[in-house]
Amino acid sequence: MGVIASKIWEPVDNIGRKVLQIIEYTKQVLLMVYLSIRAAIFDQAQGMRDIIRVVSMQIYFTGFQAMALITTLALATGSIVIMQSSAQLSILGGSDMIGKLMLIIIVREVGPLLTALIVIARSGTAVASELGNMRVNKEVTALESMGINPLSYIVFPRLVGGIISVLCLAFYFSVIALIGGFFVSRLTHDMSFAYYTASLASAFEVNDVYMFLLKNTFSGMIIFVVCCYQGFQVEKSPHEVPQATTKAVVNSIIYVVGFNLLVTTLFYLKNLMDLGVL
Amino acid sequence: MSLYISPQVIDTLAMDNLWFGFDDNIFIKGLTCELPLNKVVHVKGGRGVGKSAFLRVLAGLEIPKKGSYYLNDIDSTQLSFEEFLEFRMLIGYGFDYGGLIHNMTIKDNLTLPLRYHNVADLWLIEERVEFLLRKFDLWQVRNERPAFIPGSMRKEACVARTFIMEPEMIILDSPTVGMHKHNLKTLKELIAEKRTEGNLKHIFIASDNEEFLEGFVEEEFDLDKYLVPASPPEEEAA
Repeated sequence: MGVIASKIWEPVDNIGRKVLQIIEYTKQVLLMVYLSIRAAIFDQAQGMRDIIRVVSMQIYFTGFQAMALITTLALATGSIVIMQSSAQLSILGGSDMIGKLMLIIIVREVGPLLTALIVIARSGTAVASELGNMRVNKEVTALESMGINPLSYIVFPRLVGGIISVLCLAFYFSVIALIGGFFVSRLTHDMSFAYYTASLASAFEVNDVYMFLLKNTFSGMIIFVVCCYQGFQVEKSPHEVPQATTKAVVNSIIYVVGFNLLVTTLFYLKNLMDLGVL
Repeated sequence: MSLYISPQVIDTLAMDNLWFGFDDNIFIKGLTCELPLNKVVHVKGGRGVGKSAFLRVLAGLEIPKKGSYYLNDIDSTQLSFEEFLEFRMLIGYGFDYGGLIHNMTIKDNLTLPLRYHNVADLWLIEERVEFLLRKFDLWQVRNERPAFIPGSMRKEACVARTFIMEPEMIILDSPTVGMHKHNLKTLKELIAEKRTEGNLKHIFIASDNEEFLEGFVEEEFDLDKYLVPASPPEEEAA
């Protein structure tokens, strides 16, 4: 009886264990955000020059160098969405909804998500492996021995640089996808640019700005803090570095997708409440 | 702005019932002592006795498993990174691996602590860095990254960096391993020079290089005395 009962409860126990692990991990990651901000504020000895230098470098690597890839992806995404939606909307007789649809798909959902995925693939991996190698080479110990707090020198500037980069890249992605995408898909529809931009302008809401800022700010923070955290988990050997990098990518994707899903869900629940449905 | 020197001075260094080791391996249990000051102290002990761990504790880089480490009667194990910073600025620590920052040039590696702590004008930083680079024959590789220079030069850069903040206490863990022979003399001369003209007072060195230590060490600190004896086999114990 005891064996059967334990077999029945085993999956529940496993789920419980997993949930506790996720909570603990989230707690550790949030603690790192807090400690890095605290260290940056309270480290009186630290000169601003070095923080600004590291932030600028992070923006250059994460933001500027990703622009070519983001441009290609945004043009492709924008044109695909315009082609598909304009064709379907014409059949259904709702062509004037094109602006609304584009804003919802590109600005609110696809833009933040694709930008985050590109940043994870390009910069998240770089940050995790860089920090992992720094740990193995005892560079972090050397920094501490010089009175340089790794949290304020390594983590905080990457966090700030990452957030700025993700925000700028997501904005760039949205503009290129909405405007560039229109021109790329020009051959497949007969919509005028003036009509299209008017439709976009009329569909634009303040909520779009809030959602855009919320999703991208937190995505940037999640990516860089998770990658820094995983990088710092490397302890002794170089073979831990690729493992830490893989974990950083997987965890960043899970947290970013989860966060985006949560924000979207809450946003639509709020919409439904405003409409009196809920 | 001239070079900033922390208002603190190290008056006493003491350990009380200190336990430390590597991971779960405790080498030293219950180390209670007062460390000699104003001297060149040779921290000695057999292989694996925990000399490096001891020096890390001394540098405030490792929190011991148990016990207290007092700097001027302040228990440093209870201090946060920021609280310990005033002491940290007085301590130069050079360790066997060195930990040069790989994406910086040798010169930037030496400049980093001065620039980060914003403790001096740029010209003074340049002057100080140039002095140390020339002292250890590193000037010609100043713009190279650590991976592109020979191991002996990397080691010398690590040792040179230990002196960059004009510390009051220097802790050197195997400073001569991999270092070019003629720079051993340079290191001894530099320590002597800084003791007479500079701020340097307390020197702790763990090294097996007898040639380097000969005529230089003023006191020995033997960690073997505090080593935890290996537990006897069961039958012997019975």
